[in-house]
Amino acid sequence: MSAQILIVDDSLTVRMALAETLEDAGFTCHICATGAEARQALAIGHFLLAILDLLLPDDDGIELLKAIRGQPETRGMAVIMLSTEAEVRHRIRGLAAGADDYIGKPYDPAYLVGRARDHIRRLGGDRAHTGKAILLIDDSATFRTALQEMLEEAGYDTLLAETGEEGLRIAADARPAAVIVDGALPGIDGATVIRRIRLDAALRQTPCLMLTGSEDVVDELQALDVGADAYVRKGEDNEVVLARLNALLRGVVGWDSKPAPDSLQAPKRVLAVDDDPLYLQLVARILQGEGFEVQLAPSGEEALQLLALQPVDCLVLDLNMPGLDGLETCRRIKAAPGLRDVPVLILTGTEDSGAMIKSYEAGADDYLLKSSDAEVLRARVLAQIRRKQGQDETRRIREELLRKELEAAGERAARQAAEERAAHAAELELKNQELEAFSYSVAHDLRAPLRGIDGFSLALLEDYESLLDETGKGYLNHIRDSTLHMARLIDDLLKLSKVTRSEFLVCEVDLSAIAQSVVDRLRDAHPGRKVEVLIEPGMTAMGDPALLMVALENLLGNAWKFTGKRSDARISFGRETRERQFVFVVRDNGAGFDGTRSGKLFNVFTRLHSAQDFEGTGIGLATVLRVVRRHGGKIWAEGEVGKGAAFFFTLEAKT
Amino acid sequence: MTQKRILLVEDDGADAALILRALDETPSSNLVCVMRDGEQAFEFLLQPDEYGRRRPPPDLILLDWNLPGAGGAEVLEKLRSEPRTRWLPVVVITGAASRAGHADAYRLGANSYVVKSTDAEIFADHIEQIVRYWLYINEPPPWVN
Repeated sequence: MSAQILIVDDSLTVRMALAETLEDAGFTCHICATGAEARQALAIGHFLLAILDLLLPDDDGIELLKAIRGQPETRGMAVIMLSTEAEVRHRIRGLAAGADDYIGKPYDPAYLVGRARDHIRRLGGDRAHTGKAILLIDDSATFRTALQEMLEEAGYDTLLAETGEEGLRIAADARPAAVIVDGALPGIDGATVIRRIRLDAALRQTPCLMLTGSEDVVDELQALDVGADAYVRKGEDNEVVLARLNALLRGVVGWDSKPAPDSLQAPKRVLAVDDDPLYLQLVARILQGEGFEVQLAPSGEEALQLLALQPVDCLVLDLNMPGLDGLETCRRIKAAPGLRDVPVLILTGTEDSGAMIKSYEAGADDYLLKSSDAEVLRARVLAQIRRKQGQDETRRIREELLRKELEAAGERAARQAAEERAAHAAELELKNQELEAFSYSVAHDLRAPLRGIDGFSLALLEDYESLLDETGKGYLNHIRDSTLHMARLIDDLLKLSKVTRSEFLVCEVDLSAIAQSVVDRLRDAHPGRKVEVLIEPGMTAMGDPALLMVALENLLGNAWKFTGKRSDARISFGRETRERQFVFVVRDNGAGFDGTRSGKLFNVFTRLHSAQDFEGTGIGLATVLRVVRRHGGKIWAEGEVGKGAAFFFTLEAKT
Repeated sequence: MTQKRILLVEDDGADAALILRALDETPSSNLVCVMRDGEQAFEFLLQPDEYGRRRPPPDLILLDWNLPGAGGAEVLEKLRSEPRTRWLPVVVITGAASRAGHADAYRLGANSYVVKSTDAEIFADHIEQIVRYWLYINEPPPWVN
């Protein structure tokens, strides 16, 4: 397996120390002393991260960086520049050339490991490593070792800390999968550790298990109150701890799936800006002692350039500088949307209340005399960083709340929409049922009087035949014909409404066979007719067999009807190609119709022939249209008076 | 041929008249009683007449399916649960064909199911044929009376 990290430094001590630090943290490293070696290694191996010295004997670190960024194979890797040149212009060069990070020598090993881990995690290379690490915070060495052994046996990596403070630092650095913390610790106690973890956006999701020697229920409640996920008494078997831990990790879904924001506990970056290199060094010393990462810039211009490339947590700015002075630099920072939240502390060599007022007017967050005690500077910087942290955290919480609010609103809206849909569907169902009932009663109740009209007309014709002359009998026959037509209209309207409402079942339908059975029935009903019928064999389609039967009954029935006056009647049902698509077509050589009226054909009650010539209700083709539409198809007609008609349709049944 | 007794349960006067006219076409002279609903029908079937005599059971019941109130289905159910009427042939007559009605009628014990056609000739013909079948071809079993 190829190493994860490529280290390039011309100093043997530096590169060995780097490798040792990183390998102790669980990474694999490949070490190079020169740019040429590095280029060779890059050509063969695959690395996730490179740590480059800025100045190499045979090559400039920047040039090597540019080469890395220029190659498709290496373009995506992370690069940390490492250099004794703490000055900002090198930092700017490095970051501008594509470095992901810039760390000044002498570096803090823990910080370096943290940055390396962050970059590798970002690239997805360290998931397995951090995924299993459990942070164990306990001041008792015996207990720590016992639990560590058990955890490692169970397949977990362990990270150990003796105090709460150390634990938090490690947690910020290594982002463990879970934290086991003793309730009673020197310094900050277990409850505080958990509370801080819960306040940190980067760590908040980490499951926390609290251990305690106490049997007191109140302690347990307090532990759970500050946000512990589980609570185990130290008297209990360590197996219980393991079981609890396993359960906790099972419960955390996707804890490593999204990049966590920067941790609050991570080292803070302070940028000091002063044209006096001596004072810069002094500031650096004071603040480095506090655990800050200090960057130095000799001018306002360089400070602004650097800020454009990377954020800092606090800015210490000299008031009097050649070029861009402290006030103007401060004004520009406070005017930039991405930077205005960075605390700016203005330093001045002379006591001048006017300058102080001007500084505050320019947006400075604090004002301090250079002659002040180192302690005062340290305290003021700390205060500013804490304030910014507080602001950041408040903003994060606000965003989180807003996001939750939005999510809740979205859920509410979705639920409401679903409820409305359900209500709508129920209403539709009810209306459908009502319509069904209505259709049934229409069928029943409209037919009943017709039966009376027809029945008594027939009774008059039969029982009182001798009393009626031919005109009277003719009138009664007209009554009977009208009644019959009315009955047909009712039947056809019922069929039409059934086609629209009935359940839609899709299967493969043999259209040729259906057409044949329809024609057989027509021949049975009109044994006197001589009609030549041609049906293309083997035509199938996906669709509802009952509905397609209705459609073909109507189309073939029409063809049969309208060829009634021809002795050489001919009907065909087959497939033709129209616009590069198969379409079904029913043709006849019957009475035809006026082609300009084909658009109206499919409307309900449209009749193009007189009832005397061809009887009909004008509902049949409207029914066919609905059948075809329910199959997602199209239907159209061509015709010419006296020459015949052709009905084309497609079926694209939705399954 | 002996006189046959028919009970017609039908609320529609016009339909009743048309059915009576169709029944005239059968070979025997029939005694047809027309009842307007289930209540009347059961009074006729189960209660003694004004002289305190029990009426002899009809040879055939023609039952409209769409009766007011209880409806044909309930009447049929009751007919099949009464010992005196359990074995009587019942022909259900309905105004509109419906698959559910058809199945219900047979499930509840109908002997036949006739849809009233709007075409008077077909309607009269259907009634005549089905009555002929139940009165003359399919003699009721001897233990009924």
